[in-house]
Amino acid sequence: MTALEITGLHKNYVDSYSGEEVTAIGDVSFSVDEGEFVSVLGPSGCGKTTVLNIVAGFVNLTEGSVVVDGREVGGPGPDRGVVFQSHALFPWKTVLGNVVFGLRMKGVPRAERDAKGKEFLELVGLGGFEHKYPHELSGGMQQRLGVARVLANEPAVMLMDEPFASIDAQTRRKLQEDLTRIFEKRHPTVFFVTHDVDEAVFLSDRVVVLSQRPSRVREIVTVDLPRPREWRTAVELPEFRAIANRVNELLVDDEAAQDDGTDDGSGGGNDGDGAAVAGV
Amino acid sequence: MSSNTADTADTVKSARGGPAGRTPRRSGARPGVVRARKVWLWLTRRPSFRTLGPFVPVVALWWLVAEMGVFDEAFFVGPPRVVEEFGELMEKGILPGYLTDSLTRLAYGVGFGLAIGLPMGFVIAMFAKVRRFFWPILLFFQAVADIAWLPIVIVWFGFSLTAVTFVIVYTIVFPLMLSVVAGVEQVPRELLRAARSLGASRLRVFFEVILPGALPSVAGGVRTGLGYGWRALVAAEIIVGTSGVGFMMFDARRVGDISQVFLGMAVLGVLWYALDAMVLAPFERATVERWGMVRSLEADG
Repeated sequence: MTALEITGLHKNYVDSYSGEEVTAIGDVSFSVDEGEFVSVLGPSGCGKTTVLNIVAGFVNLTEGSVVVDGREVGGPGPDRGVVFQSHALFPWKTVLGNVVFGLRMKGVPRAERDAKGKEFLELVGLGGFEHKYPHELSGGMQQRLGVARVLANEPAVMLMDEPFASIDAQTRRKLQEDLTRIFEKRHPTVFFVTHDVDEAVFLSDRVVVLSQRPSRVREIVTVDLPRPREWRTAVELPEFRAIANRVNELLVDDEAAQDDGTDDGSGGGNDGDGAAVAGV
Repeated sequence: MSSNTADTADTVKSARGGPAGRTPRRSGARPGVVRARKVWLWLTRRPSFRTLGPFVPVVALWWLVAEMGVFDEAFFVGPPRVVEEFGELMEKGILPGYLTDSLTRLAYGVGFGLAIGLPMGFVIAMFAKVRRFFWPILLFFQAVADIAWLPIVIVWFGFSLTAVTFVIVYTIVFPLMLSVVAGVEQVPRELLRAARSLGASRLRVFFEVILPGALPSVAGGVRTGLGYGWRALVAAEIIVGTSGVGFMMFDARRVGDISQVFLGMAVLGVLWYALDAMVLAPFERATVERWGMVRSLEADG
């Protein structure tokens, strides 16, 4: 079952400063299956967040189509919950008030939504914090709440926009492991945007590598590492390194091509250690 | 006991000079100094001392100037005279009556001011087209000072409660509207997006996110608006005056009773300070504190 289908996505916008028309996204197509974890990775400024914003319905597309759960996307909706880099929690609501927000919007009765809210807080390790306010939580805990708030709403796809980028390195590893654990337990469909190669490989089933602007899909790398995954063991797997290196090469290649001014993206020729890599 | 107070006064002075109100450490401090420091620390933790303490030097200076006879007693009276006058006017029931009148006017003005300013502020903030149309008008009328309206207002409404209320409402509405617009604009875009992608309709986004998100700025606006309103009230009473604290002061000047003028000023200051310190400031602080995260979100960009 395909949860998210992006076909021929193209985005132009007019630069408000120079007045020129800029192509942010050239041609992006890929799909995410139900219960699959897909990361989108690309050099900075390649428009990966724009792709997410279009899927979320925050930004209109110029051409192409985005279909979620069989329905064409038009505007934001609860079927596509977003976890933001800035957490975007409601500071005047308690932890519980934040986590049940979506259920309240749906009109779920109080007792039911509170029970469900607590269940998801337990899941992300925030049990017992129901009556705290977001500013009383650490950055890592705030982002756990951000994840719980989306999952409690049971969206068709959970969109995550560099959710751990503003969190310190130590906590980030822990959060990545916890996210993997949650994913392995409940199998939500996840669309994850990041610029961190290791993070993408560790978390994902597939990694979509975008080229520089105007972005195209450079390659889709399948990550067939065994689950459950843990950082301690994952970094020692030769496959992990091989895939990470492969993705890195794709990114570096692209930058080099950009520097030469030859943006003829005829990549895919140099799959040196390609055993675990399946280009699509 | 007397040496102790002297020491306290000494510590007060040095504390004012020192950074962040800390007494500079002196080597081999005498026991008296240590005790004075303790007393000072204890005092600075009392809310009543924090509230009233800063006025001690002000009143002392006032008293000193009056006692030294720099100005003629007909033009400048000391604290004892004002306290005496206060007792007298309270006894006669004049001051309570005038105060009631002033506060009633303020309540009317503030009530109507909030009832008009808040909804209009939100309408202007929410609809770009409405805002584009009204913004120049808003700035224009904000520039026309409140009491500049008095001449025409007196012609329209006479020397009445309506005239005073009009001026106060006018004074409050504009800063309030501007603070509502600023408050709505400072709600982080991500919060609106988060709410929308959790299934909130536009109407619910307004009530669930924009309204509470704008609250800290609106609380600030209410506070400044009320401050302006309070000042406008006194100005209006001086001109429209038939009763009230402002009227009392102006009338006393006419008969040459300076002590009532001083009393009026003191009453205005004390009343406002009480209102601000007990109601407005805590409310603003509470919202800003809990909303702290909104600020940090903004900082992230």
